Amino acid sequence: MTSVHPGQEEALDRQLGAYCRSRPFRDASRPQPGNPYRRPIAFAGGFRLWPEGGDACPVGPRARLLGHRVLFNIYEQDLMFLPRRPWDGFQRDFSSFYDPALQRVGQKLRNPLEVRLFDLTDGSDLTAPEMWEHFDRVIAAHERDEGAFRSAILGSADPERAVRNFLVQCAGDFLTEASAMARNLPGTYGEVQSELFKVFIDEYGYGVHPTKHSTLYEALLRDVGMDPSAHAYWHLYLTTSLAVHNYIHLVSQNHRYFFRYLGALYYAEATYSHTCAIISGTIREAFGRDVDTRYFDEHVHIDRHHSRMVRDKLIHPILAGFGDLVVSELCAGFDEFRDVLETSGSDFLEHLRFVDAETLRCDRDAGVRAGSILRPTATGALDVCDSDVVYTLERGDGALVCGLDCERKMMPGEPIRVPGGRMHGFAQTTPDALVRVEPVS
Amino acid sequence: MDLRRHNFLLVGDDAYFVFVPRDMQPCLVSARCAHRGGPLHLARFDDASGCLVCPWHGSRTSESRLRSRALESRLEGHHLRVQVAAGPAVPIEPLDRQVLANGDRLDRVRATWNDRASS
Repeated sequence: MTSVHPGQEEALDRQLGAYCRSRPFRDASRPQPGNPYRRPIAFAGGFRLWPEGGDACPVGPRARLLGHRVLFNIYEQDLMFLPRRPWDGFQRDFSSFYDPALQRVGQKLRNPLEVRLFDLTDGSDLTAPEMWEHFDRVIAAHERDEGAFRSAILGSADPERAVRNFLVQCAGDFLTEASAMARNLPGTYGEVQSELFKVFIDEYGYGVHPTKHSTLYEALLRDVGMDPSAHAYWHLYLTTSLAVHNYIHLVSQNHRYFFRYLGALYYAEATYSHTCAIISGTIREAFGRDVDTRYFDEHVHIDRHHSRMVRDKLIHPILAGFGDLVVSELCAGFDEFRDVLETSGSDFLEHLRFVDAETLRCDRDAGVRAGSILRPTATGALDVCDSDVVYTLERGDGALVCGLDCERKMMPGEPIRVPGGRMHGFAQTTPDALVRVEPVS
Repeated sequence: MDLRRHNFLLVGDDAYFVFVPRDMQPCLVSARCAHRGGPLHLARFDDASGCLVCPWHGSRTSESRLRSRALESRLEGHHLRVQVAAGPAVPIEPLDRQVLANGDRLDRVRATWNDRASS
């Protein structure tokens, strides 16, 4: 990928500002259940992704979160979203999300954002047999994982809440499952193309809507009292979750990374069966045996097939045809996707510990009631600070929000410390609420 | 069904194809793989195991299993008389489609009818 040339930084940041202030993404545009076009980026106060010094300057936590939100929206303006039913003003929201002028701005920003947010590797100098040994070793290690995820969820202050917040983080991808992958289907590249199509039709349920993977995920969300519409919880996606979704878009949208995409796909398919077995069991332990875990159970089964199909029908033929030319790219995709997934997994568990911290414990009376649907809190998109800050309520009533069903009523004068890089927001309960935010010296 | 012209049968939304096992006795079997509904008429026949290998996930269906699930039928010359359980409103349509599952076995069966007709 090309780097930003000196002198371009200011122009890029200007375009970034214009993109963030557009109707779908501006801060006043609060998420609305059932409206997939409103995705506030939390630009208030601005941020610079390309300070003087260009790509050499590190990207801070806040710029990273907002940058990933922008990049995610740029990718998704290529996808088709329709709500279940229209509302007053639907046409305006629809048209502004798919506005060609806004899409053009996004496309100018896309490559510089990819460069800024992802540190793509040069791959390795392994031979093909060494590559397979490496893959087998990593997959075998993954399968020895006894389930740190399970212990963290079931050991948290509120396992049901922990599961729901995990499902929030997956929703950005699972409700549009395989959409990024679909970018690799058109064109003509021989038998491998048809083999990839077979994986794809599984994801889309063979054209039978109830068996489409995203439909199964919607059913799970409904079953645990969550809103199944696309991006209903947009404002709660962690930076590292967005990075997972954006990585797959990156290697799918840029066809020069096709071999890297295949490496990433193999890592996903070869490890996901084991991961899903743990997730499914954990959800049943948290919610009881009758909860609808078909989404994860389906992957326990089908990803065993996909793992074999990607290895034998995609990667082996590609290697037979292109040999050592593609080994480093296959390795890079496999390793990079493992890295973004592992970072995302550990960051979610870290966030869970933050949520569970004594000061952020939920008032259970305000929690989930049987049959209720958890709606996004009446706040804009949550944000992160680059360093630790202390929140103090000055007047009125308000709450600190750090996830779904994770709110804590603030008491006047009581300081609450939020670590740098941790996602949070302030929700006004009364219009006069005012909060003081101070950096920790 | 006239097997000289047709090798596929649609009964409403259900699809069947003419399968010719190694004993060369044609029968009519479901075109849906029992695993995930893959197109069995496009399956490859594996001579070593005597199984159809589904093109979607490689699931194997043995010849004997296919026979046990075949529609009840009787071969009279080149006509296959098939008993179909379907209501009067359900459309039944014999077709000639690409069927890979038989290799060249249906062609060989057809050739014997042509030989008999010409002699």
